[in-house]
Amino acid sequence: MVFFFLLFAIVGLASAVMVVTRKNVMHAALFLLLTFACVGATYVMLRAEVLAAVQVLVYAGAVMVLFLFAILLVNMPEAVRLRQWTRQSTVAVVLAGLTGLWLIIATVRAFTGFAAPPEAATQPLGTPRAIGEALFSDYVLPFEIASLILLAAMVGAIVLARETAREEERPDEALTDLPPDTQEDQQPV
Amino acid sequence: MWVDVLIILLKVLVVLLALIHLGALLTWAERKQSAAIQDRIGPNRARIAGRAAMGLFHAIADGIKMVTKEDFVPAGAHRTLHTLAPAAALFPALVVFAAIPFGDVLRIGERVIPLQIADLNVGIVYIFAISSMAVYGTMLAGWASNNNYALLGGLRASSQMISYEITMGLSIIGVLMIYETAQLNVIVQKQGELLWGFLPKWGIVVQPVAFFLFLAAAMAENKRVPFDLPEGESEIIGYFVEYSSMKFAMFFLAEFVEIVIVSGLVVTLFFGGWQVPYLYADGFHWPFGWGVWQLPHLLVVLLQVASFGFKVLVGCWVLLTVRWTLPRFRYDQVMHLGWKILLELAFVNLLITAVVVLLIT
Repeated sequence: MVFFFLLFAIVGLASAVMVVTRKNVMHAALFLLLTFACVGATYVMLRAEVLAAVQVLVYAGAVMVLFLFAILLVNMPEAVRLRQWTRQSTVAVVLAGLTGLWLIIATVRAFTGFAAPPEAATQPLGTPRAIGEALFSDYVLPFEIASLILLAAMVGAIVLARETAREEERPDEALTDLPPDTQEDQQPV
Repeated sequence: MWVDVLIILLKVLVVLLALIHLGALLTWAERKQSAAIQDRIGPNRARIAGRAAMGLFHAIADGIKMVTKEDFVPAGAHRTLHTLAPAAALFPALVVFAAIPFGDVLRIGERVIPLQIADLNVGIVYIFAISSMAVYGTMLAGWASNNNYALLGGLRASSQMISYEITMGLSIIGVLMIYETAQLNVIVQKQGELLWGFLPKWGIVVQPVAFFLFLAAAMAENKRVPFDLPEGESEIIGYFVEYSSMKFAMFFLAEFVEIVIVSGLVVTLFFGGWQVPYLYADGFHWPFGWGVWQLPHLLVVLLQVASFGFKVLVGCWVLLTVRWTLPRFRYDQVMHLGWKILLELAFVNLLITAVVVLLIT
């Protein structure tokens, strides 16, 4: 168990470092994928199966796929030559240090006086039912707020896309507005 | 202890070998079936000891050909990723089946063996998580080949797979609502219940719309005709144009193994998995009070596994028939169908299911 934890932790952290240091953005993305997979594996070892599956489904299967999709459209030789660093290391160090400190404090506080709930042995906390019940009872407000934020982001994306589409005002718009199956007949003979 | 490990290893071995061999046999089935559909004879030349065996040896000949061909990496290609991409395409296809139950429990003396490799309580989420990784194989193949046509094929493939993944996931949620679990063997067990005393509570009966949505989306994920735009072997060029030898064979095998997976998933979720109508652990319980027909345990298990295998084969046959009957969609039609028709239908189906489930319980 400890061996596997160390394996996933070391591989995950090492590839996280690689994500930041690689010049080729495709390599960076693939190392990020490896990090996500290692985090998912640690979730499995903590018996949080739902979290693990969702981690792979959402981060590795959806978020990173969209990243790669954007990368496929990038001019790679030019992108590699771009400057990789902005000169704001002071701000970065301060922010990263504060975040790290806060994480350590939060972890320590969570584990002092921590006792497993009595039913934990028989009822694993990572089942879909347990997570669902927690989300819709104790954590319903954060859950709803998160869904509202996502909805707002979605509406925003659609509005932005619509505006650029309207600006383009393509001359062949009359054709593309037709249902797809009648388009063929409208082509000039 | 070591017996348990041995049993698990044996199950993994049996399922893996069954998957790969069924995938290889499907290449033969596809040729013979397409020949029958198009009124041709199909492969009949490869002979061993003067026997053609209905062209079965062509699968072996194909294997030999693939292994002995030159393994070519184009100039300027990304060598590591070019090699990794076929593995990334084949891996999810081979691993997904671990969560699909192919039978109930087998009792030998004191020992109880579940006929499923991994009984995960997140079974269906696991399947979606793993199959969402399949897109990396196509993306990396397109990108690493240093070929603009391959790159465009990879883009087409990934946008199509991302689009239909959403419909596929949403169509299943209705099934989860009705059976109230994500555990695949529980879903199958609950499909053994009867509606109104005679109708098996199969997924197709309680979620018919979800079945069609899932089937369409899964076929799009599989990237075969009518959704074969990523590849388009007859006129446009696909993402694995720069692949030869066994690397190409791995893409090819992944596609055929995915047919088995799609069929297995459809059977598990909508056609009762290993259930035989009215067959329970101790034998047939006929409806309308026609009595009980006792059967020995081993025969029941055999019937269940045979039922699962038979249903999967029928599913494969249907998928092959669809592939050889329909023409290919145009790209805008694929996107239109995915985003403006199937997705909406999936949402409506979800809403109606939720209301009905709430009203009944």
